[in-house]
Amino acid sequence: MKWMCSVILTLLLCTDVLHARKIGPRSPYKHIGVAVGSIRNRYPYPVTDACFHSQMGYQSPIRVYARLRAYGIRSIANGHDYDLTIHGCYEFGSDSSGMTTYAGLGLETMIRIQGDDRSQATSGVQPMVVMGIRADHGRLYLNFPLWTKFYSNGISISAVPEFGYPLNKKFDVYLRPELSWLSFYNGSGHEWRYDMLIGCYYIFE
Amino acid sequence: MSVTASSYLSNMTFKAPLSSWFVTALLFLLLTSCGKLPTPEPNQSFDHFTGDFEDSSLVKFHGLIPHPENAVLVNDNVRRGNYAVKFLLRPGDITNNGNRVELGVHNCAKYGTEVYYGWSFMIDTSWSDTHYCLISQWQNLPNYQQGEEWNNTFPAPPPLALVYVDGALKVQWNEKVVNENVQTIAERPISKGVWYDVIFRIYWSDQGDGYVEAWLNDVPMIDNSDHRFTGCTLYNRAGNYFKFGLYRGSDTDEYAPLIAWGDELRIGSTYEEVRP
Repeated sequence: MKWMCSVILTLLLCTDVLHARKIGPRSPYKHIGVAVGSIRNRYPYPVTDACFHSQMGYQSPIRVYARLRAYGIRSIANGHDYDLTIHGCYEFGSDSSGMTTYAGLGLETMIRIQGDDRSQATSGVQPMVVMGIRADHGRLYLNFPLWTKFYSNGISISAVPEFGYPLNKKFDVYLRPELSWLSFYNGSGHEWRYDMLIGCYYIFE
Repeated sequence: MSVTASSYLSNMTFKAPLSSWFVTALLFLLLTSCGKLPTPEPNQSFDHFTGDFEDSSLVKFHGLIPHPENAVLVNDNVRRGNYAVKFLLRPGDITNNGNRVELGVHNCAKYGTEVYYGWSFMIDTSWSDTHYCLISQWQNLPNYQQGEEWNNTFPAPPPLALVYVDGALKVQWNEKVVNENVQTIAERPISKGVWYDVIFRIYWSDQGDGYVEAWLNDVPMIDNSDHRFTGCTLYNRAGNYFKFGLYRGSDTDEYAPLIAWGDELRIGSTYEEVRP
């Protein structure tokens, strides 16, 4: 937990450095990706993500993002537990240093179909607000959105930084340490949760 | 070249104005939120429970019973009242991936609650096995709200268990799923063929403020000044659930059948409420 907070704070403090890096014009490319993770809070637990993101058009400032998160080893096909996250973002463009900021809205759908009578999990849909930055540092890039989700009884704020490295013109690899703060509106408590995922993007036009 | 955050914002080039639909959509989404935060709220109510078998039935329990003869009601050897349960475990009595016969109680070990547990047990005089055997345990659960389920849960010892091994009763604690490090936090010698009463007072937490107190025949088991062990008692906030009976792990060794009795299980909020 502490090292995760340290990483995020360091990233925020390094914003000035990241500013100075030049990034290219808005990309016309689309990405599809898959990520797997196995470290969740104090124990390993398998998580699988399949995601897509793109902009609506080469000149459009609107980007769309969709992610299907499944839990478990056979998770994509088990039909029990999924999080489907879809959002659209408005890209504010690059400043002179090449850093891009964006903000948007979306929905997350939690699907919990448990056959276990010990489970009290419920499915639900909640809106989310997204704000983020993207910056390049040589061949490395950082995409750092904050996802704020509004539940009926609380709120969660997730830092979802993605450290990417292009292997070639078609594939990127990335590391995504996720840190979430979940808090009840009534002040009865909060939880910190983190996941660590490693993934790969396939890039196409 | 370094650029400050303020100059960055002032230099930013906006490609298009923020349109009114954006604000409208935001308000709409905020008003329509309907999912629940995927983490348990602390200090929820838990199920108070009485399992004294006086209704001559096991239906109150979630049974992990391989064969009917593994858990039978008896009236000739009871701690109190007319009925008790007799557990029998043999090699090959396998259910839920373990050599076990156990009676489970759900919704009694929730995150952020303090709960008392009391029950009676007796080890049969024929018991000759020197392998460990869990005679009760508080088993962790997958965090269902966060999408987890049993099939993919990392196998680990329960966070807390009461173990009989070679004439000794041990309270065993494990802090983490990974870096497994089972510790014995209390130990007492016990005799076969004698009923014992145990009571536990536990605060369930995945932080360091969890605690355990235990009594054997009303005498504290934990040997420190406040008779309390402090530490994480949950792996996650999904909570634990309680089981009692016999659990010998997943070994397939040959051994002489194990017999034990149980009676007077109660789960509640005070010592007196659960005292056998």
